[in-house]
Amino acid sequence: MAALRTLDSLWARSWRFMWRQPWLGLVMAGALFLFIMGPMLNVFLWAFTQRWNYPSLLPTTWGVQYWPDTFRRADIATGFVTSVWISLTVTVLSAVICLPAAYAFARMRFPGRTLFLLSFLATNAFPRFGLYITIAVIFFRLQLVGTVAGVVLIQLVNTLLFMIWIPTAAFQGVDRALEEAALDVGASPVRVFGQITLPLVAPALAAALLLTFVGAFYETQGALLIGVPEVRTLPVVMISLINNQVIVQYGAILSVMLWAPSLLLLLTANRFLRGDTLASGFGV
Amino acid sequence: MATLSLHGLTKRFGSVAAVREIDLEVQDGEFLCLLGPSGCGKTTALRLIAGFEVPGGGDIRIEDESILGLGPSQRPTAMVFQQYTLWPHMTVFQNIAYGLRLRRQGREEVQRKVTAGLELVNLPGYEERYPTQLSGGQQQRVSLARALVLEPKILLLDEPFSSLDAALRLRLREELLRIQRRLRITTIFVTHDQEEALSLADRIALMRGGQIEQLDAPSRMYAWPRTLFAAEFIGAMNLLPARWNGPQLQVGTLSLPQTPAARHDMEPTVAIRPEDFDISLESDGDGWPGVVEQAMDMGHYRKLLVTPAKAPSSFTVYAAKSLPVKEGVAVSVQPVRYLIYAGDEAPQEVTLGNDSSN
Repeated sequence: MAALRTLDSLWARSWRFMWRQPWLGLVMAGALFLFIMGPMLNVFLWAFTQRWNYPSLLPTTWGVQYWPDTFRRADIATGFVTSVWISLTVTVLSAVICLPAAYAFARMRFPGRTLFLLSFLATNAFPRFGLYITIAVIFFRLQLVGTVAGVVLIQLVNTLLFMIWIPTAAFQGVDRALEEAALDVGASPVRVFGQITLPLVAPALAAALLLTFVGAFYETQGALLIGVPEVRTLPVVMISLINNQVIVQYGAILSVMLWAPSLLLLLTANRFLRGDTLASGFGV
Repeated sequence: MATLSLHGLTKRFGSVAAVREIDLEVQDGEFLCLLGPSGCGKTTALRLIAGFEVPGGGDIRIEDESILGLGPSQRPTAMVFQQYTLWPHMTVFQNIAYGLRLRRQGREEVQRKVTAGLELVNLPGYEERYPTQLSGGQQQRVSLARALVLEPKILLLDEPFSSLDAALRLRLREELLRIQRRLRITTIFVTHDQEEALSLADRIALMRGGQIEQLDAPSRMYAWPRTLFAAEFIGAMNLLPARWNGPQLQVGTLSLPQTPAARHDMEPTVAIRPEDFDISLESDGDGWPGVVEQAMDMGHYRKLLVTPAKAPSSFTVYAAKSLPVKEGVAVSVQPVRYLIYAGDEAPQEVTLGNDSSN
């Protein structure tokens, strides 16, 4: 019994000893890094590959020869223009529809307010593809399938969450007394909104707009279902390039290019969002 | 500088009347406190004056002109709020200058007034700070400066110091009083802190249930609270249920030293301030015999909880530090000044002469 206890404590001690070793943390962090970054690294390498034969760990021949080819491809150029155009339209439309609604949610009391607000979560609470199929059936009857308008409409559904919830929380976060103080010193209600309320919610609104734009830019399921074959956004083009598998490099290069918007989002977000803005946007 | 008067001012929220037919005349340069527990309507009354709420009835007049037709931005009132309401995206200078610029005042004039305003609240040189760089007390001072630079006719303050710690609250109280005395600006100050009201106000309007329960100078209100509610709310007070025993008024089986002629059909309540007792260590004295249950050292005086031998409940007595009294000691206490409340009538005041004490 005593021997067993000694063994036990020995085990416990060596366990503790092992966990205290700095190399262990390093190995685990490295493993995690590989697990997350591995696929991205693979794609990244493919983008700069001329030839890559199977057993070799790194590309056999490096090169950027496929980059100009990729840019010259008509489907990618059109896809890029289509994507930017659609994402911009979606963002602007979403802002026009959602921001006044968000203000109303934040500042007015009306029957069914909470229920209505929660309903915007509903699109995220269920498998989206089922929703899309149903919408597609309706769109088909309305002859919206294969049109830019159709893609814009279906992508608008996705933007509701960000464009309603973040600004609503932001408007709610503005203390009424701040606005009343401005009224009190003589500002008109319009001026109060423009000079007090708007500047205070601007970071959160910018975050919502960015998230919406990038979200629409990357949106694939809806665009694929409603747009194809007439309207092809960049991610849709990428899917077909990867699926067809003739030359992996086109898909890889496109994929690397598609990192740009989200990278941009991260950088900009870092620059002008206060750390707590995103969190406060969600009312945390 | 101006007078303010409220005439039958009423405000309902749904079926609840927050403010009920208030009549009030505030003199030029007066410092008036609206005092009361939460939900008594004091803040609503202030917001009605500022224009943030629209009254259901009655009139608000400044210098005998109705201001009901004016929105909050046009009224000659300025408010300091309970919360910190400096605009966080503007510097201290921009905050104070905002209202001046809206009035299209010249650049130099704005500059001069902001500087003067900051000096008034003891924050010179803080122009370029942002509100987040200021402490709570400093923020409220800037808020005060922001209100004062507009030279309002009426200054409104809605519990401006309630979120500050006790020591700072006292200091800002003194500063506010100094500024108010210097500018002689008509001031309405809302608070639930009776001590704050007693120390600041020229007059206190004690509010309860949307109405003014009593309107008096602080000393009068402290000495002679008109109702039991006022007696309980203002200062510390022992409220002892009493009953008539023939011509004698008794608390338990203790007789009050002097009983006024009064209606005998009511169950009266006797109200005695803790400092209105004579206390002696001779338990066989003239007063009520009792035992010190608890003795708290309050600095310059002692707060005693005395349980009398023949009364149902114990009461609080303030004793001088010179009196050597400990817990468990037998004492004799003699009320020297008290008020008798019966029904809705004004209380009867009894003050014993020096001969009957000791």
